[in-house]
Amino acid sequence: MARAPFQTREPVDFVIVGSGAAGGILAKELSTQGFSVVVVEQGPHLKPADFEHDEWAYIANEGLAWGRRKGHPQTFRKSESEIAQVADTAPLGYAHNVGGSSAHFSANLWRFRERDFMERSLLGPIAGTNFADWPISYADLEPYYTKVDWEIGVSGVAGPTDPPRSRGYPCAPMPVKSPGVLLERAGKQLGYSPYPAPVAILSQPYMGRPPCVHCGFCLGFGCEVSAKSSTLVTMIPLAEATGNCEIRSGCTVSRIETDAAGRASEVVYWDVDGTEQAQRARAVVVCANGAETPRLLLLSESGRFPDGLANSSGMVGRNLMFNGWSWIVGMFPEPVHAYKSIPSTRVIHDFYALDPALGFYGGGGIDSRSATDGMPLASADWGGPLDGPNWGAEYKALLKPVFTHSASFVGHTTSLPLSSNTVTLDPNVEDRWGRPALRTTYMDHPDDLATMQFFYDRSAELMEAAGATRVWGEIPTEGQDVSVHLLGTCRMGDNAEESVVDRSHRAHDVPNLFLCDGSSLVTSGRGQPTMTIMALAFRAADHIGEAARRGEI
Amino acid sequence: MSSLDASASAAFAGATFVTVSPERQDALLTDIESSDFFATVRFLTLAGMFSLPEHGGNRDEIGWRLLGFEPRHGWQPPFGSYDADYAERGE
Repeated sequence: MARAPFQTREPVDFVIVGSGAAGGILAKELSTQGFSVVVVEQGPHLKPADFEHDEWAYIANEGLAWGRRKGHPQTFRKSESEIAQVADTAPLGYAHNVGGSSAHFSANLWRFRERDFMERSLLGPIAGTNFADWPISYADLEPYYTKVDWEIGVSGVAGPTDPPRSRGYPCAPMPVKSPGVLLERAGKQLGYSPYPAPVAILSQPYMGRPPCVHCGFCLGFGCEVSAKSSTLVTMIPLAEATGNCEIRSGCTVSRIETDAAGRASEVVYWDVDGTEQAQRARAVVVCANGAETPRLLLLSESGRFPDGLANSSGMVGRNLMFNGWSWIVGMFPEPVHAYKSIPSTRVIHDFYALDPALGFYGGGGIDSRSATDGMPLASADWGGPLDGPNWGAEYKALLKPVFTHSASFVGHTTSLPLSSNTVTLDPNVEDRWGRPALRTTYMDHPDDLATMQFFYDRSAELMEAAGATRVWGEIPTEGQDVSVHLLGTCRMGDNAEESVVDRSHRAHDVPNLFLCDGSSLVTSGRGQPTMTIMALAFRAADHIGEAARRGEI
Repeated sequence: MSSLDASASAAFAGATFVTVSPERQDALLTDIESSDFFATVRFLTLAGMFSLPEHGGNRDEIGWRLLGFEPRHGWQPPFGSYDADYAERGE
């Protein structure tokens, strides 16, 4: 068999579009199974030594997360009746680099629980929504959650209300920070069960990688010591070492071509020099995230697929879910120094499923954080009291107390799938390649907003119990207009009229096209989707590999 | 900037913004604190004060010292007083 690098005119077994949480895992799994794999990634192949503690470059100037100023404008509107406007901050945020957002995320790695896969059956339909059961159960995914723990490297300890797990964590929990202590003590005082947050960050040496040095630059940054278990440092090197996998970074896919039989035949892209190329493939796996995966399918429309590839259901780009949030900050008498070490060290999951008697659907978790991800510029810019001064002598006097003596408790909550929340192609705005821009249409469901308020109220009680001397915070009462959780836009299901991919991630309409990333999710989970995206990718690789070996692709 | 000077001149007899007292500067800025101009200048001032010194501001890390941010490449527990207390006394 041919070895990497491959010729574009010779079909490889799989082209994988995207190298993030899902794409990196599928690349490693399929190449390890012996298949020839080309991964096409639009961002650069940065290495850990390239990552810097540079808030101005990484946070204020789009660093890894490209947007308008790097030639990738996105537009936003709340409803179809509006004309979407170009947003300054990309409404759908994700990292552009090998490893995708797994390189720059906060590394919270919560499993979904049994009920997440069957809540429609538990609770019944919710009017006006596409609330549905998954075609798979927690039991189906459990072996793959465990595989993520052990192959990626996760630190934690089973929580008091965790779902069943077949094996413990490979690494002990991370050391607790002061915000975690404040949440834990307050939570116990109020009768809850706080426990160490599970994270894809190493607390001890594991698989040749060193433990975290607690530098504090996690969210929005890459880890320069490789302690964050991104696919960049876990899966991609293993994929490349097989000799069966070629990573083509700096390459932007324009469309997936289909042949006369309606099968995916090649992936067209601009290479790192801007020259158009087309890689032939026996099968295509799209792992471009909940924004770019539906966009690519819509861009791949043709005479045979006039509404976009794999879109006979009309569900491509629909059911966009973000996860809701609440944010509350407290000032404390003693130094907290939340800017050191990882984002979150304690979590409370006692409100995983809210009582239906409240009159709305929802659930989530509350974790301990820094007010502003520990970033100095962010803390000075927007970290202070919301009703306080934002310039002048009084503002200046608060800078240090806010930066050194504050902690926040953040709620992470459910989002309902709605037909009206969508990713579509903007008819008026183009990106630097001349492709229609990503257009987001999104408004949180009233139950989602009620859930956020519930979590805000519980967080406020926790802040009081923790002994905060001054408290401020908010929820997005007018609805969210930006998110980094991009979920549900090519949902999984058994019914081809209501979903885009089947339970093995195969597109209902195109037998050799597979979609696996946040777009596959049927429901939103409780606010931390990456663990489930990774587990789905390991599971998808088993199913796709088996089908290929049986000649059923 | 020229309109700030014009406001200063009109209010304080021929002065420019930089020549009036801090109290009077605050009064002039309060008049425009809701403007896009003020928001831009405010953010750029903060960026210059609190970003990596390699970008040209935050000289001698003066902004970071004002915040209490210590730019080390690594830390070890305890990080703050509450986790120090937790390590000592337990839950």
